[in-house]
Amino acid sequence: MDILNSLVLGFSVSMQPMNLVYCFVGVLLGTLVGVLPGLGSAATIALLLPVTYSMAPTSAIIMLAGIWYGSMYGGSTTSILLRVPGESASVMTCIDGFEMARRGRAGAALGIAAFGSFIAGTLGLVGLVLLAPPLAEFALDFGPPEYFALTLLGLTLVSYLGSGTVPKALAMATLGLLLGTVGLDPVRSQERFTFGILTLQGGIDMVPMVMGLFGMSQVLHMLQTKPAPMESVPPLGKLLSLLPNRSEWRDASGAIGRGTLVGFLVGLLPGAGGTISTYVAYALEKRRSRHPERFGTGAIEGVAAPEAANNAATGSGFIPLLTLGLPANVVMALMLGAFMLHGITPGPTLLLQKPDMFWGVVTSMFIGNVMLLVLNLPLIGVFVRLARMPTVYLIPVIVVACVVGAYAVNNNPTDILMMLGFGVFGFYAERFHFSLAPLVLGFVLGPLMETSLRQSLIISGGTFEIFATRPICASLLAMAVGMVVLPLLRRLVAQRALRRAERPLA
Amino acid sequence: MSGWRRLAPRLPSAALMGLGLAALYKASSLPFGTVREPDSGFYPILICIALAGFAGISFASPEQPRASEGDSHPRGSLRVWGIVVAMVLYVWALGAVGFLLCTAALVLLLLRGIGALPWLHSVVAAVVAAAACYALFTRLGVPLPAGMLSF
Repeated sequence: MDILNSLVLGFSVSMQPMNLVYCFVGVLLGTLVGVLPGLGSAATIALLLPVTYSMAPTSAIIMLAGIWYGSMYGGSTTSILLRVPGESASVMTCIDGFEMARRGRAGAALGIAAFGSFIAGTLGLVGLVLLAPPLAEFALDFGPPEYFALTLLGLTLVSYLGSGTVPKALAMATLGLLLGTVGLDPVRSQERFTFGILTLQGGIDMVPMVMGLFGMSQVLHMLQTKPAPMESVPPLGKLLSLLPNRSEWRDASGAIGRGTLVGFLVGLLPGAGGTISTYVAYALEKRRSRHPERFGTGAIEGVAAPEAANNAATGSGFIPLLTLGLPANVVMALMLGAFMLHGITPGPTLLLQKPDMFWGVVTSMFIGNVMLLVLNLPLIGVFVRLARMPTVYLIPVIVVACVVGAYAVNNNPTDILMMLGFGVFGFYAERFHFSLAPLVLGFVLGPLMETSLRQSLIISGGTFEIFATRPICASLLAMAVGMVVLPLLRRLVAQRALRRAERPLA
Repeated sequence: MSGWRRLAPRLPSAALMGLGLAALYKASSLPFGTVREPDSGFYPILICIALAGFAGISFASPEQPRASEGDSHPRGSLRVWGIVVAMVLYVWALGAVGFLLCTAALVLLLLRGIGALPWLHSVVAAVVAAAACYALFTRLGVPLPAGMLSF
């Protein structure tokens, strides 16, 4: 099926009235989540997973995807007007966006953020459309050793590119792998770490776990910390009358293009995603600018580049999930969970077995991007009022959603306790700088990693040569080993250089 | 800096290391198999060793950032543990008392106890929120316990 026919098939699915409604609900919720500080897209997707039980699988994924890319749009509004990033991916937008707003150019900053997000989001999706089918076809030849190497590389990258120190991230990733072993052994059905508890035989349910880690822990964080004071906002009518002028468009267009490319490439890397892409895009613009001193004082490129990058990264972030079945970040891990809740395993065969779903989800994102562009500018006033909403109203909503969502998995109150336990764990883990993303990715990838490792060893008759003699597998493992060894070598070289430099002084 | 202050940020790493070792002890009772034909214990044992190892490196690491204290609420810990205890009580009472009453009480506690909103405002919001949630999720097919209101 060529790409044009595939897109026609996709639009025939995504344009169905119910799917349009779910797409709209997703992008609207995503925008609100992006606006509201404290509630991230991962937490919202985790909270809404149980709601998708009764939905058609394609509609569910369309809605959840809308939340993710919608949150990237929403984050820019409060970053620019209030210096409050609703999402971590909007932190860089605050720097120049808020300075522009202070100098009376809020309309230009909001306009460039909205149009830049739309252009980059759409180009990112074009990249997804062009790259996903050949990659899925290529991945059809992957065997257990390649999948083992991919999961290992994914976890290593997540641990190295995420927040916190590397040993802590690796410890969290292995804890996730360990939690993934609870229940029956996937090959021999032997009970592992169940302690005789019947409900643990089926393993730890993902829904209470992620609701606790991302939803409940966020509530506990809100209870623990004082809300930050917010900046005042100029009158909204005045804001929108000052959309970007020609010179601002000229300055921003190159930054949007480069931000899109950076975001797309960084979004492909496991663990990197939208947030890191914004740092890279901002740094790139600052470095290549003839007047780097303008950055931080209201340079429009400082708004255009990160906004383009985080939106392009959302499109490319879907590529590893849809073509290889590997989530590149924690939101994609939750998406994988959503697919699995509906009995669908994303990966190279998804495109062959369920082309309507694959292309329906992809094309819905084009529609969602248009919806977001239309939604964003007229609703700025509403979003600003929402961002100022006291957290006391948000806390009961999240708590009740967590309680009902956890209960709904098995209609069992014990799952609420499990959710609460993970919430307390997540709260303290973050306070001690243990990142939660590697834990969730380890939990999600663990069963695939175990099965592929054991199958590889059985195929090879117990020799580890199988991982070195297959070129793709060997390259992936070499990258994973390089990720671990190179920083250590660099540190050793730096320490030796420091010692050499200190010697003459002594 | 006192010894305790230096040690406190390392405690989570120590706890993870302990968990890894305890899990290793538990996993050692599982059949290991051989490298040619790995059994149920093969993978968990590798993972437990890795967990204990990484947590050990983290414990020994010289860079130990302190727990983020940030702009903590004066009674932050009390609020956190108050909600945790309230939710444990919620689960304990859910079957007998029912979803509507338990949830209304929990929301009331959050609005009145944490948010310090006026009583009338809090009671109305709690009852409406619990009833709306009950109606929505029972419609979606989730059999929420009716408890004392099952008439």
